[in-house]
Amino acid sequence: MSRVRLSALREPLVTAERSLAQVTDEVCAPIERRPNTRWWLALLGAASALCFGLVCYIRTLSTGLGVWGLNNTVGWGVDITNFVFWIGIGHAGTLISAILFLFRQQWRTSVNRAAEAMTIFAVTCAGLDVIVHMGRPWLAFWTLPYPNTRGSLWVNFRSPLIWDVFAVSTYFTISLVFWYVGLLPDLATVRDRAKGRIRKLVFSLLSLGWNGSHRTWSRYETVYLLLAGLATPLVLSVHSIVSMDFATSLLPGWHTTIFPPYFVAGAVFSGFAMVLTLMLIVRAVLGWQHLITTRHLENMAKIMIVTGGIMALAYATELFTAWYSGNAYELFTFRNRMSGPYAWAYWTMVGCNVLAPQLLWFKKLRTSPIVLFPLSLVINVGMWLERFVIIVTSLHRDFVPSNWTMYWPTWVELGITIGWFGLFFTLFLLFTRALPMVSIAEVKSVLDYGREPRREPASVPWPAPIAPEFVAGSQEGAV
Amino acid sequence: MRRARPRVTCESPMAEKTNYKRRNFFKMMGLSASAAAMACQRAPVNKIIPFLVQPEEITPGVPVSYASTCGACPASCGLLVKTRDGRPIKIEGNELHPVSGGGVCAVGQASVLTLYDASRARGPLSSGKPTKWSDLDRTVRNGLRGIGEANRAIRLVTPPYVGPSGEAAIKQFLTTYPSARRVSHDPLGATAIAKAHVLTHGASVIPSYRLDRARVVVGFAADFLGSWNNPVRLTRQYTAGRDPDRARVMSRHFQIEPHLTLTGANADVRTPLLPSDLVPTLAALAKRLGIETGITHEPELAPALLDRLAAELREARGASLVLCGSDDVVAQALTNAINQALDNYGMTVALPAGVVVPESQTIEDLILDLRKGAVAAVIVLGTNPVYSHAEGSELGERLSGIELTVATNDRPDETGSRTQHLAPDHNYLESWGDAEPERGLLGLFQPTVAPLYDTRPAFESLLIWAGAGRSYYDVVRRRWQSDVFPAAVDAPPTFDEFWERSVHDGFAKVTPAPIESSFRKDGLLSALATWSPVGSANSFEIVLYPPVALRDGSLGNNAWLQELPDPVTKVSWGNVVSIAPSTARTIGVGDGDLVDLRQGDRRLTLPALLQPGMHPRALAVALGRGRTHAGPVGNGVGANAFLLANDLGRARLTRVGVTLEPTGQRVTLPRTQTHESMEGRGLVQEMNFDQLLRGGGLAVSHTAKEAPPSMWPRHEYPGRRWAMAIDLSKCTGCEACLVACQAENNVTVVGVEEVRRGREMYWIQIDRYYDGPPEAPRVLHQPMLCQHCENAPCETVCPVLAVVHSSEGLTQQVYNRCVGTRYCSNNCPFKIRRFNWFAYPRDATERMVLNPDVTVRSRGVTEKCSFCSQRIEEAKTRARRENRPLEDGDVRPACAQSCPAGAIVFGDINDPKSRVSERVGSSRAYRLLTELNIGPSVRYLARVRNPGKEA
Repeated sequence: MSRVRLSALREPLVTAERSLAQVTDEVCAPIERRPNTRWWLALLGAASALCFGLVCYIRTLSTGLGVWGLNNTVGWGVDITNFVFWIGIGHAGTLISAILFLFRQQWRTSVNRAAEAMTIFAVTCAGLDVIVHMGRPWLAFWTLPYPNTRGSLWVNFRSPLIWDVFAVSTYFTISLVFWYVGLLPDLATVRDRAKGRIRKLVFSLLSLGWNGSHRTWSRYETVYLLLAGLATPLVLSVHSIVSMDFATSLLPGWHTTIFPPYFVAGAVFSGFAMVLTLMLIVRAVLGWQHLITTRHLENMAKIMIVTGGIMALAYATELFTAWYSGNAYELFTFRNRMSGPYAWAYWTMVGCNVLAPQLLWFKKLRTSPIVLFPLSLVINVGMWLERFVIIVTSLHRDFVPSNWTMYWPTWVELGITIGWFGLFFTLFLLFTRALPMVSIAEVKSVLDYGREPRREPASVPWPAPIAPEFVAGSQEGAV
Repeated sequence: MRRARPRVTCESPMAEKTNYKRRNFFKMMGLSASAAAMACQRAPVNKIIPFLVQPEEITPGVPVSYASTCGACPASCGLLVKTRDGRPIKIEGNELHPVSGGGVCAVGQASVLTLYDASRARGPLSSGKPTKWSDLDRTVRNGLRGIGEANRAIRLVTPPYVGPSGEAAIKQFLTTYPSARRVSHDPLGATAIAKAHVLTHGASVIPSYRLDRARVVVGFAADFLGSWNNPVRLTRQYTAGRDPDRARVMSRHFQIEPHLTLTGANADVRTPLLPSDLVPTLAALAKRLGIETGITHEPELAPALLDRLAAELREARGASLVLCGSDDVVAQALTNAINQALDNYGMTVALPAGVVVPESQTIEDLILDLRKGAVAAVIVLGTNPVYSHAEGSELGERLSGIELTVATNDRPDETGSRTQHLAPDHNYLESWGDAEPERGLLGLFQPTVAPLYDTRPAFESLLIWAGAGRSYYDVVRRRWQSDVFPAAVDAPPTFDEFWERSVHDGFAKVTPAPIESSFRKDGLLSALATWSPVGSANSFEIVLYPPVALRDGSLGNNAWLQELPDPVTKVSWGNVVSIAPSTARTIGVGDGDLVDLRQGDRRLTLPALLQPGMHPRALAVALGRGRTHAGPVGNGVGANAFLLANDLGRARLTRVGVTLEPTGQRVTLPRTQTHESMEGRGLVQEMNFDQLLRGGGLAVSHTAKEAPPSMWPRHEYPGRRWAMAIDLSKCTGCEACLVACQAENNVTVVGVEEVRRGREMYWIQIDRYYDGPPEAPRVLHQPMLCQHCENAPCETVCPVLAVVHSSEGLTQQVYNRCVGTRYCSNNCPFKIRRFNWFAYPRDATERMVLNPDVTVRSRGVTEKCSFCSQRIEEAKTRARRENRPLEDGDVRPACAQSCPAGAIVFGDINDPKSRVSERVGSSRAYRLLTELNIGPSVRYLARVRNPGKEA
């Protein structure tokens, strides 16, 4: 074969030269070897946090919500902050896997699997959190509209909380199905490589009889495309609806029409920060710098600049609206946010979400993992605080000043918050040992992107990527 | 066919195998059998027997009300005690009663809980051990007889005055034992007025006041709307004289006081006063009214104000009233002289209709006698001087050295635990008795429940010890037959009918014997001669005041009263040192800083509170807290400020020379309201009386468009639509409604920690705002309760439809559907919904006070005011049974029923003739937050002040 001249604009998506078999080996390695001490230590930490959260929750359940710091005036605090935070985190996964898929952003292939796993774990946390925050969680099923014997008592379709139930459960279901369907080829790969009987059986069952035929592939791709199409509106809807919990209320600071786009942007912002956090760890620990490349980091950082900018705009718009509306309550709420007893939270939030992302304008910084990692943490802190600020500062001083009060979370609430992180990281750590963290099949499809074709015909990937000859012959130099 | 029986072998293979010997087997069997027998005792037999012969007046499930008299304080208001299945569950005012007229204060409302107090003594005690009444009586009678025969001193410690039958019993006791003397314990100095009248008018009487006849009222440190004299009656009269809708004249109220009281909060003109300046101020006023006092000490008060006071009082001669709340006889004598000079006696001050205070020794006398070792027997009749006297601890120690000590207190309290014998009195709800709230009016107590414990009326005990053992019912009835019936006003022909009527009404009017009284100038001058200025240039002066909820602390184990926030400071579960904000800043003290108060060798450690309206050099501490033997609820709540009232001179409750030192520690104050300013939001609207007369409207317009466009169809109210109108001009903020609602709706007590966390459960609260500078704040009160909005924000957001709108306009909370998301609470602009953070405990006795008509809410659900929907349904049922339409006034929520001021009116707004419709049509009516288009069903009527020209 003749050498093909490649466009200088094409950069390889996988930076190190790898054969198809090598990719398979590399990605499957973590789930086929025994975990090392570092993993066990990490799991120990995460599981301890989870157990602490459980203890705190058992205390809540056995004694009553009074062990939290909430009061007559502030009915939601850290609990709903966590809920919105996790829903926000859950955004990036589906955005990466569905929206970037539809936009044919091929760089997504090496991060989408982990991001989707993150989504599912985050939405799990969020869903449980909503149940945990209830006064009588054992009756949580009453929020579902099902025929019943209580005179067919129905739910209130006017309540944004009911919309939440639908939005979050739909989102969780679609994300899970989407993730699972995407896993099928890789599950089959793991099955084919499995040595133990049980492992083989489990992965045989999980891979749903995948046989790698053309027909299977064809159906798979159709389903995947359809699911991506289905998931895309959900990315926008779920956080819009979560924002309506606040926007449809009449509380100054909540009752704002900009909330849906503002919350979606914030969710993407925080979600990408969390993906970055996780990917930077995975990349460093497993030595996958060639799979999760600087380009991935940079792309995510760019998205964060955009969404961070939207956040800054949203904050400014809120302030402008409060001032321009002439509504005394609204104006007071925002003045109180900026100079009241929770001003520290507001200004930390501004620092984390508006000022810190500005560093990403510099290419040097946004391509440096050492800068990006702390920055992603800072943004996560900022986004958690943003929800805290929105929820608590609006509630604690609203219309009637006689009821104004302060809210400070107790150790039980904070313990439950730690528990959510424990649950999230426990699930993620187990995921790193149970399933391929990178989509093997999809990475293989971009293995040769921007790279000179290889010689060995034996390692022609299957399904074959677009034949290099064809690409070279017809559209030479074109991207 | 017979089955072959399996052969039983002695030596079974099993026994062989386990090496289990026969003897051991029997031992084990015996042990387990006896263990089983002991563990499985028969369950105790509880008898639930239906009424074989149903009492005539009792229908199960239907409440029965009995007229009675309130025994919670000496004011003796008329009550209707609502009972269910033989248990009193709610105390309401008796509308027929001439003195209280349907109102009851918070203390009276809460006293029903004390009936069910598990800490009450279950029976007579001797040396702390249960005994029998007969044994106790024998010991006490023998002891008294021996002491009496030896002519050694017997002391009977009583309240300053009790009902006529009680007085008769005391008299009989004193006659039986000539060596016995009566000692009256007056912790709050209420008898200073009587003592002053002895000097100035020659009669030991606390007069009856007629605030409704006064056009100018001047209060000198008299919290007559809160805890002084007879707050229910005075509140009723006060608001009657200030109804802006009914009269062209509205009384003007000046209040001159050291600390901000509830009364000062309602005043038109209020100014702070240094406690030691009271007499000079009164003297200066007297001088301006032409009374020679001989006191030349210039008061600190602005002369301009004094001139104005004198001018306005003189102008309203005969229709003015000066009230003084001090326990200083000199100040009271000056007040009498001023009222006399203004011709107020016979007009606004009724001496013949007052309360006669019998001659007696004081606790100070008793302590002196005890020090001499001259006393051989002390009988304490239901008072608690060991707690509520500054020398209480000494008194308690000396009591233990005496030959015979008996107390009739209802529990082994501070005094009752120091006496050898405890002969516990009935609760007033269990007992017969009478009271004389004013001369010419007798209140009758009747039992509303069989005594819960083995107790006995105190006066019956006293008579038994005097050798005249008879049931107290007979005593009361006979006395009424012999003394009351002949003097009764339009009495029926026979005594039996009169008695029936009196028991039914709960009171009887009589023609009192006249009182000889005339003003004696020499008496005034002799009182003034004892006065000398008390100076304290660099130290603080302190006021010890009875708080609205606990007064002298006698109901200290009552959780409703302990939790009831102070109407001014909004502190519950404890007392604080109120300091003027400017002073606090100077000495570097903030809210909740623990400070040491020192007065001589006495020390009190309490948290500080920055209280607007305080005189910069005055401190104020509430009495009634810091009980040590009240019971688990009241013990150790706050500190006992009676400790500082240790001057054996005249005024004990105001002291000079107090120093204050910060301890450096800080606590979170349990307050139900922490933000003082209304932030200019116009929630409480005000106008001046002149403005109202000129036809002026509301200052801040809350009248947004009544029906702005809506996405949803409006609610139709085809039948009734319930609404409430609250007249802020009438509401004094006394918080009687809080306890009324608590009793009616089984509202739980949450405790001090939960109040600190802002989780009190009250369905109705009184918001209190300060406006203006902290030195002279204007105080605004606003009862806040669920507004039952038409477009209720709570209704739309509940995911499970636990909040629904009724066809009569009620926002109904369905407790058993609630899952506890608290979204309704967040979306309520008034934040008046309450969440059950815990399953709040109630002990078994306390549970008897629960109203069976109202669900007790479980943990994890939200609750709120229901407009007393149970009362609405009850009234409908009653109307249906009587085959008549529901009339205006048939339904009265607990808050409206109890309000002494009549500030709350409830009714059907669809009926144009209803009282609520009438009020809604008032030019003063407004609704809250109309800009939110929520359509509250509660209207407020703007507060009207009458500060006159100079304000």
